[in-house]
Amino acid sequence: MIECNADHVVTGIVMNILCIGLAGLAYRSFFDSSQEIPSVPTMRVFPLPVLGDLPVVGRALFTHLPIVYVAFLLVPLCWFVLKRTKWGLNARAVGENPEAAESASVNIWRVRLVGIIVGGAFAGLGGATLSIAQVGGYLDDMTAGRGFIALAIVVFGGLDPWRVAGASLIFGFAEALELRLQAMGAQVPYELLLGLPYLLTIVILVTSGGKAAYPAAINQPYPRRRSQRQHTDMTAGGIFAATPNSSGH
Amino acid sequence: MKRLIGLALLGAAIGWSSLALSDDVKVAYLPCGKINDGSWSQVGYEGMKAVQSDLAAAGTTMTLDYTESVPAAQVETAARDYASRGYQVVVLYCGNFGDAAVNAAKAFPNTTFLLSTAPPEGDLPPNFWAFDAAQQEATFMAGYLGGLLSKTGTVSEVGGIAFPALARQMEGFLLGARFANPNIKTLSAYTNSFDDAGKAKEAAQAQIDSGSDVLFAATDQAARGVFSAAEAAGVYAIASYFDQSSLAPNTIVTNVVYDYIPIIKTMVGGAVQHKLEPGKFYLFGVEAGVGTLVFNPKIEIPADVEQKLASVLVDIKAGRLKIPALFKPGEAAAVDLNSLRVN
Repeated sequence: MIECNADHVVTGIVMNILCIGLAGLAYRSFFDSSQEIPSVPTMRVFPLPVLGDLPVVGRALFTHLPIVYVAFLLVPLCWFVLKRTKWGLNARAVGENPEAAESASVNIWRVRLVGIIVGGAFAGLGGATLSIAQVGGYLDDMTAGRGFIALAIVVFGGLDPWRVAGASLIFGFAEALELRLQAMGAQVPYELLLGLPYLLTIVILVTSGGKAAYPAAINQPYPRRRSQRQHTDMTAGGIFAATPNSSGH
Repeated sequence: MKRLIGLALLGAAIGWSSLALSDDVKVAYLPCGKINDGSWSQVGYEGMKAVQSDLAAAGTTMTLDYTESVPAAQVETAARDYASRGYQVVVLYCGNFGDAAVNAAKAFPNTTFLLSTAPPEGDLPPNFWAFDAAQQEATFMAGYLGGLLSKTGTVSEVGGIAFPALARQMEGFLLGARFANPNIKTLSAYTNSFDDAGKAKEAAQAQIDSGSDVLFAATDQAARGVFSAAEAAGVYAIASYFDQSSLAPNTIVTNVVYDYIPIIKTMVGGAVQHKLEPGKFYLFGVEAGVGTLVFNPKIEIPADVEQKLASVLVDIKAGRLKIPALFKPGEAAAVDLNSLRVN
């Protein structure tokens, strides 16, 4: 897909719909619905030593599934790889200015492919956490649109690992607040509580007012090969020359 | 020669298809969710299959087709599509498909439309039938059990989307818990999803943290999250729609099961054979055997609790105890418990 010059947004949507269907299909072909529903034991919560025993914050911050701590550790790791290594520099260059990166002999397609694989693996880790670690089984549509929320968080976080992590925490806080307030029997209409994460998103997006720090070359498929690129340039020029406006001059 | 063979084949095809048509009935099934959700939509599907095999035994071939997880906004289109393709019976099996069913029924007077919930207000066409279970009777029993079992004096419930048919189950549970213990603290949460098991787990966890030790789940397949939270905390859970005891054998104390198969047999079988009473709203309650508590044999219930539960069931069946259907979240709190007893 990277080499096919396909539109990134369209490809993304296609992959999303395809994979939702494929996951359900695979599950149904492996497990007959009339059989017992397969389940696995869930991952146990692991309180961090000492920190987990702290009053108030111990339960909220330091008593989680082991995978949650891994997710937190991934933040500085991602930051380091993206901002402090040669590969990270290449990756950013490929996003900002592929031509310049290529002239510095960076293999653009390989960098983009690795980026997609690593990103996909992280998303997969999130999905696996939900099914295996948290719920103990697979259910159709169990991600319930979380991937799209993640996408919004990435945009909102300006594609910076630290800010994306912060944005995720805000979203998580809103969802937790929604459920905790309902559980505390708060005399608030439940519809309002259900809308809380979304309301908060709108408020933050409006008030933060920062422009998304997109890479300059986002959603720009890079032409396939050097030889073909020249060919593309020529056709582009050709089409341009053939438009009525330019031929009239 | 070739032409002759062609003609013969054509003739055979026409003969076969008309023969098949005479005894054929095409039924479409449109559930809220997936036919393997281990819950509401699966029960409906199994009912449809039961009707199919009953009709097959009687010499009628029933073609059963389904479209899963249709959004409420698109279900009318799907229903109309089936009707225009010659399906005789279209079953809309979801609490919020009411308007779609009535609208499609008005447009296709020769097709029978069945709706699995109370009919919407307004004029109802003659080819439309609504059927429903008085689910609040069974969830009342579940709530009553929860109220008796709770040691903390707090019980709670997690629901999916708060449409009337679900709110009725949720409110029934709250009412039952209060009936067991007028001073009980009840907590209620909606997650706005029947699939999001992760969120259901978080909601259940929040309730457990607030002291709940009996959790009622009415979130279809997302209930797995509720069981998972209850299991980890060592508290009881009550499942809905299916006997799910095996999913959490030390946690799920009972399952509220609505046997929809006899309902669907009555309704779909009746529709196929044109035996439904015109204009009747078919309502099936505990008395009709719809809505029972299927206990988990691995968890022992104290004898006095069992006894109290049995006497409440007898009272409901005899009509001495009337459980109102409450369709709005929060209504149960305002109900006067004394008003339930009918003398």
